Amino acid sequence: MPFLSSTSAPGLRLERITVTYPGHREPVLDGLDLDVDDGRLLALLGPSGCGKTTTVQVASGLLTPGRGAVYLRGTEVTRVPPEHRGAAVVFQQPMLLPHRTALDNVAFPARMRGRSHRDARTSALAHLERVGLDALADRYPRQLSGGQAQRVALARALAAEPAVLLLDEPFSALDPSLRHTMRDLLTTVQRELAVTTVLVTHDQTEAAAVADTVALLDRGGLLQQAQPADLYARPASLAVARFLGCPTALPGHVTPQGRFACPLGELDLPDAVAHRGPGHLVIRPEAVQLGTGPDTVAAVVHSVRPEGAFTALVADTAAGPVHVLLPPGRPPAPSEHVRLHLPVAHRWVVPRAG
Amino acid sequence: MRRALHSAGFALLTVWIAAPLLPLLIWAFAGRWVYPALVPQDFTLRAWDQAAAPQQQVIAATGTSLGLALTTAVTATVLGALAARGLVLYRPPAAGLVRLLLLAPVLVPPFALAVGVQEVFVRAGLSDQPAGVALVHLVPALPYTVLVMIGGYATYDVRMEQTARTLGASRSAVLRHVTLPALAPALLASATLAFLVSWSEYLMTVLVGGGVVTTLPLLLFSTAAGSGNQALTAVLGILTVAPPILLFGVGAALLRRHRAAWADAEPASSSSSAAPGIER
Amino acid sequence: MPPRWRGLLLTAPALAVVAFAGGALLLAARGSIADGLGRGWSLSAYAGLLQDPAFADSLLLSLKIATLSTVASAALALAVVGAVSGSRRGRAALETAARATLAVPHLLAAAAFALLLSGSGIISRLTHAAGWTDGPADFPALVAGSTPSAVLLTYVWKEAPFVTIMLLAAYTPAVRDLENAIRTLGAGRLRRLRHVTLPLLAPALTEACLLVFAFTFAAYETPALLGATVPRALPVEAVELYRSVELADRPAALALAVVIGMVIALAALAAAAISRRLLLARTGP
Repeated sequence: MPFLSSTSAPGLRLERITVTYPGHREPVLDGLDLDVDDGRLLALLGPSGCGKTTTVQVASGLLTPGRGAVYLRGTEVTRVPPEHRGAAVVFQQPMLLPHRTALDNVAFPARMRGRSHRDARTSALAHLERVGLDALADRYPRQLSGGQAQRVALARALAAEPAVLLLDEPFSALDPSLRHTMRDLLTTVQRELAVTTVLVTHDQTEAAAVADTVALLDRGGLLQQAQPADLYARPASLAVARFLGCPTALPGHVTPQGRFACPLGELDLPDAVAHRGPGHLVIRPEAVQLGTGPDTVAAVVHSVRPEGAFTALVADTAAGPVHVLLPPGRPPAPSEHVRLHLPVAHRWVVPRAG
Repeated sequence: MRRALHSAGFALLTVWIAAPLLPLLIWAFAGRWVYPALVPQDFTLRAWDQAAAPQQQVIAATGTSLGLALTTAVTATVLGALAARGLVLYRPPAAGLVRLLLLAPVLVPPFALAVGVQEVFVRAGLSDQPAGVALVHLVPALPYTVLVMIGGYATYDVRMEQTARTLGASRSAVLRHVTLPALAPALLASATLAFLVSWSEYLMTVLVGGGVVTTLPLLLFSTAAGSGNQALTAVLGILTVAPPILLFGVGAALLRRHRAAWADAEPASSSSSAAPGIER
Repeated sequence: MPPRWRGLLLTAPALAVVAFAGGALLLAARGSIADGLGRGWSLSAYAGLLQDPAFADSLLLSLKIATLSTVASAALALAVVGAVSGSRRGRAALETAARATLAVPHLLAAAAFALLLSGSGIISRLTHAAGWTDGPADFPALVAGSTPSAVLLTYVWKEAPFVTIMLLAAYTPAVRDLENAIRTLGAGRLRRLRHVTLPLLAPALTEACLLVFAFTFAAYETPALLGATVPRALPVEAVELYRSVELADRPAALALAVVIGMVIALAALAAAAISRRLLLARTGP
């Protein structure tokens, strides 16, 4: 529903943000544009070093960008210091005050807004309840487990009643099982309060699991911003496809009639493919099947590698290597001749880079 | 505005350091400088000549000071390194108590220690000897070396030694190629501090050395207290202050080179330090 | 041998030095309850101190010197560390300056301040040139005067940088990260100082204050060079007694050493109690 968000100001807008750290020639963020719809959760996804953390620093005011502007709910805040901005951050480490109890940590933002001690504690308890830790209100940070401490940090950030909630890899220091619980907690709380949220992560399953929208960042620029399902089905570029685990890319071009011409012949494409001209055919490994019959292409198995219960196969076709993820069963051997079925619905074409 | 504040801060720091030290420099070259003249009436090297004269013992005392300070630096650093290694890497029983005991001498009043040590030395025949003075200097120096070396070992990964052993390195090769390079900054800082403690020591030297062991601080004290010879006081002062400042300066430069060399070896470690936050 | 015990063995040489020092202190204490030749048992040295009004004056003077030096150095160090907290360059400059001062021996600092602050010293000449004073006698008696001004100035000059170094060492990137974190929760500069910086630097400050107090209470050189002859600071008094040819003065000197040690021990206990409370406030009971 993009038309809905376009009527009101976005919760957070970054406009042409450029940041270069002293002593570095290459900018960390290079003219980054990013919109987060009001009340929605955006996952900022990308490899390490792509500028995710810097984006959070700019949005929170901890870093003033060399160029560009930051807007919160339509108001420019580029030069507003963090303490007056209303962008609460949850970092990878909980960053709780070690000499304060969990309750007093959560009461801290309200105290900073001049609320009375009693008042701040009452609302803090409600926030602790929201993350299910009201029973541990009197504990000191050292007496909390990593997950508990991070939940207190989340409660504390919510207690700031922020215009935007920024989460910088908040779960990556936690055990995998705990991570799932924390994700569920985050989505519940976020939907309940409808607070505009940015979740920075390098984990694409995490991004896809919690986000309304995923923004894929690489080398300081935005590669694509889309709903999670669209990002997987319709990557905007080869880089996006590769990052999301789709290594197959067969070169060719899309004919004016919307068919993909390559050494394998002219292949049908789904109607959604609007691109014409040179490009790469991409198809996810789990969509490809072994098969027989007219709708298949010939291939020679290049390599076979077990991947858990599945088998990862690379097979050479006339147009290039195709990656296949086979369900449990008896996989073919290397050098074996096979035929591959590439379902039309799963085919997609990205423009040729450069 | 911000720049002006910076400059004012730097100026204040400079004045803070220079205020007591600058007059020393002027006095050392002053001939006649009678009150209330703001600058000396004439400049001369007389005080330096005086200091170089054999009957003033300055050169001999400098040698004694240097010998004591170097002995203390090496001994205290070795003892401190051994103790820190034992405390940090082996976590022995009562480690907390041992650490406390090793750091406690920093609080010991020098007079009490000196008179007590004198009692011991009179019985052991060590009184009025440089060796006895060196042993006394070790006591206040040790807590500093222990503390610095504990800090050094805290960030030291003993698995580097184990890895080197599995690659065929002997114990001495491990010491030379792994342990010493990794601990070099801590060892340097530790030795510098111990040197400084010994080099500055006055009261215990004078009480335990019995006037036979003459160091630079002893000459400085007696000149400053009794002679009224400000020019000679200033010269002795400069001789006393120059080596420590030189040592700190060289140490800092070496440390910076060491850090730079190690930082280059770790290209991936910049992610956390690259976030300058409010540093700008 | 189990490695845990081997660790203890590595600490043995250093512990031997400490044991030597401990033995020496015990012998000094023993001498304070003996006669002038170190024989027999007698509390007359302590009784003598209690009857001597000069002892009370000396004790008060030393307590005053140590307390004022500690408080002034801590306040100054906190102020400058707080002032540069936001700037990396400021911190670096401060650290360099503090280290440079640290390298200056106390004795030399005292000698230099004598040249600076005495009646015919540089400051006195400057005030004369400015027309504020008429001559050396008109200049306030900072050196060897009735108040230990020159002693205090020398100590603050030396100890404030020391406290600064200790505070900067405790002012780790983790503390600055925490400051940033609560900044996004609405805490301005003063509140960050109050809620993060001060509480997290408090243990280091306590430790630094104890070291400064212990040092300035027991040190000889500075009050000997810059202090008045009456009353004398406790360590100066002790050294004079120790050098006296009177046989009875020896136990008295050793008794003063014990008194100095006791005061420092009390200060250490107080600091330990404060540290314990700081630690408790952080981890709960």
